Amino acid sequence: MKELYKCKGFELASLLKKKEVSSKEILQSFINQIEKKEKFLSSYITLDLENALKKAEELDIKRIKGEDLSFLAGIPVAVKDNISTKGLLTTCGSKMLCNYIPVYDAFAVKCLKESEMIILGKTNMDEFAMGSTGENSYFGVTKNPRDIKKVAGGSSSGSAAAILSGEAPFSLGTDTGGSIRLPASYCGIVGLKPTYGAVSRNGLIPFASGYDVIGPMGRCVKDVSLLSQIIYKYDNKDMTCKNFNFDFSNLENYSLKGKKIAVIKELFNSNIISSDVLEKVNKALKIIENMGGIIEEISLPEIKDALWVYYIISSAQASSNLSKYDGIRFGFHPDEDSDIEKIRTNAFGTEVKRRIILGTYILSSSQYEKYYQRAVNMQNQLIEKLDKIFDKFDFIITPTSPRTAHEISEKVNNKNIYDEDICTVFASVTGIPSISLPCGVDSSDMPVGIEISSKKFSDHILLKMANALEKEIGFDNDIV
Amino acid sequence: MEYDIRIGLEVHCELNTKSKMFCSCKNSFGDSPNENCCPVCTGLPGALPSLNKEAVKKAIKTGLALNCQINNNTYLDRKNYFYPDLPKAYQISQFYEPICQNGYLEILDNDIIKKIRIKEIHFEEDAGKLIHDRYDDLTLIDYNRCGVPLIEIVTMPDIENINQAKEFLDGIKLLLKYIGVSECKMEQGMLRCDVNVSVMEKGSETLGNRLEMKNINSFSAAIKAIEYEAKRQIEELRKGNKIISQTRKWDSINEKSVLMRDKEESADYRFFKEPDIPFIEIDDKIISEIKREIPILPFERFLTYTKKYNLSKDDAMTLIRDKEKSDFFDKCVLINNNYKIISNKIINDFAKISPEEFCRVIDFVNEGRISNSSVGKIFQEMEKNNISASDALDNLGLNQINDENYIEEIIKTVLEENEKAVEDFKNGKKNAVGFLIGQCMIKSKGKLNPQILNSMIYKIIEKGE
Repeated sequence: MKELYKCKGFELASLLKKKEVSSKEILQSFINQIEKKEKFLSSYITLDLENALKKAEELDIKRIKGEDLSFLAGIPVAVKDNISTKGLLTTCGSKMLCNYIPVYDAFAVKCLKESEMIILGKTNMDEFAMGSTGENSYFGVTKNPRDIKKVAGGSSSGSAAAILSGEAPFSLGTDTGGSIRLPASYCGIVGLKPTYGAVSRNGLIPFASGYDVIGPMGRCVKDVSLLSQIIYKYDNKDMTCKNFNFDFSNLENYSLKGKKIAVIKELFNSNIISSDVLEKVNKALKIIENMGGIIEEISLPEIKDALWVYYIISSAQASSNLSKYDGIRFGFHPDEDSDIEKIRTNAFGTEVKRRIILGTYILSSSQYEKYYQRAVNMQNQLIEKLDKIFDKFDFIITPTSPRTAHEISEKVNNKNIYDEDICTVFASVTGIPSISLPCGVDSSDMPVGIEISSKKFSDHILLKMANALEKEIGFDNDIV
Repeated sequence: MEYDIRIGLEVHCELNTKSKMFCSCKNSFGDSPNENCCPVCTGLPGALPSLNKEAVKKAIKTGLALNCQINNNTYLDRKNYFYPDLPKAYQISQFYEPICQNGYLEILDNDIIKKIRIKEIHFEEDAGKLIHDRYDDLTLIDYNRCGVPLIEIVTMPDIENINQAKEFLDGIKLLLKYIGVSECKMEQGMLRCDVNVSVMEKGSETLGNRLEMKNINSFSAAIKAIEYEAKRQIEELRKGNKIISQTRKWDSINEKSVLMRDKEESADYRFFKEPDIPFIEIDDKIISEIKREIPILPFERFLTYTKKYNLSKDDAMTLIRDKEKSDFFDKCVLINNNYKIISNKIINDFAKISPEEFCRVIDFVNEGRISNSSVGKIFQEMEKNNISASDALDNLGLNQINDENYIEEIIKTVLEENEKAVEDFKNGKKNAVGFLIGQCMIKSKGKLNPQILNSMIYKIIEKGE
């Protein structure tokens, strides 16, 4: 038998179910891997292994007693560090919250606990989820397990790296403008950004409340689908959460025959996307055609506008969401003399400060109409446009990222860094579900991600499509 | 130079919902500090607001009672500012699309009906309470009030004098109590108000620069603040100075306004739609349901009482100020048209009895069966034992006898038994009759109708039997 940490999540679950292994053995295998890898990778900010071991032992006893357990009971999971965990440090990757211990569990964490999954710890991330590379963390840069000189992608950098390195079989990430899909793409794993409103945000420490979503990450679509079943639940504590009945039970036997797939001309016929990435995505499109899918090129020039819409609205909301961090009631507070100005200057990183300043300016009464109001109008137009596209098409396919993972601290100016999000933000600003899965590697052996999006609340169908495609692509994403 | 003043008011009213505006914490005053708190109302990271439907209904109800248009598709905004009593660093409020707009409240200014236009009613959440005076070097924070639902009622600058301001504030307070949206306990800060005052040359059409005064914690202070500010501004203008738009703070101890900030320094609240709360769709069905719950309002009652029932203004207002009494009056006048006596008795001797039984007692008085002065005693007896009017009369032995035949019999017996007194009377000793009446009353255990007894006894003696 291969080592447990090398197994996919669903394989572990069936081994457990057949009582061929214990939860403790599984956990120990991942702990060993964490001990081996973590010093190079920085996937985690906080580990909670003692509690995890206790929980694993409890579950093994329950299993022996023959108690009814959920399919993923006893399987480890890592949680991004902007999702509140009761009694467990939750930093958002920021010095500002370096000592913040929540008094309540996020709804998604409650779901994990109700299914008796075992939380390994909290994963590294760009500070307050602002960043596409995983370099903006107060707790150090997350490295790409495939090549530790390269970034893992962000902001859910640790949640992606932990999966690829065998430090966790499952993880929760969050996505505001691509923060699940980009690291999934850079690390060659699968990450799903759910429909906005399908998974409760309750307990997710907000960056941009109108876009933030919690989503599942894993080695394969099947794992992502299994974790989806656990976290896609209605929560009346989040007013933006809709009570929708998703059916994740039947992932297999989905035929792409006759399914209509749109590719966006403005992305494919331009120099935005690197040739390496384009080649691999086109190859995947060929596969889809061979499976009976109908590919059609469409024009969506607004895809470029989605970028500024995203940066204006997300920065504005962030400036409001982050203004409560003053170090008075919780968070960083070095000494009695520290005033709010000193604390905020000291405890926020450069990127966070940049966006707070940008967002504050955007919302000022003299600029509101020029920026925020215009962005909201543009966003509504985009939503209408996409609605129309989905009247005719089942899916939209794009690359997940214009390029593959780059070297850590490679000098990229900010404008370019923001452009990295061009493929992901249109799904964020319109609230549609979007999944990234690996479709090959580039010339430097770094994974390329393909992004599939579908209409709102069709997440379960999106997963079926991705599962079917994944089988045909046959990407080998063994633990590295 | 003579000047006109224009006053606009912003009345903040805490709604009496069971729970707070965005969480299930208790909305109650006077509990021990920070007892009614949770991650939502203390602004812990990741906590989300859930809108209290009862608060929405109460805001709509207020809007309807003030003749407003209800915004069918409204939403909440964030008002961003930093202050220690505001743990989220933004207040969930309304700026772009207030829930109610364009209404009015009618008041009476020296017998003339005046409409004060309502610009809008919008939602707000209350902030916590800072306690500065407990310790010298510490400020304490009590978050119990954080997230208590408030509505702010904003008038147009239609108020022209102090009396109108008083009438408006009294009227709005009474109205809010009538529709049951707030307890309106001023001493507990449930009603507060900001005042805008501007002064202009008499007859001018253009308003002078506006001065806003904040921190006014009672209506009487609001009146004082208006008086002070109008006077101050007129004096400034007479001195040839200009009035600059400012926000001033009312110092209720020294009874004067002090500068808080000039308009140029005014805060930029960076309003934007609260992304955590979706649009609030209010359909017409809900609006008409709420409309049905609105009782006849104080101003309409006042007009009815004074015009239709001819009550004095004072009596009318005394009744209206207590909704229970006014409602009772309205029920009584449907069954009995002795409006004045009814109003008198409600004002002076109100008891919790049924309007039907109440009116029966009024009838007894009119029929002369009981004396006016016993009414209070009878009401109390009815309320205490939950019994009918006539049972109460029995219990109290107050059942007056009006039966003339019976009275005649008693008189005849008494006259027979007291021939000497009758002789005395006939011989001019007029007060002997008093003795005889007394004897009749003793015989009847005081139940004889005194008027009938009085008139009959003379006739019978004079007939000379």
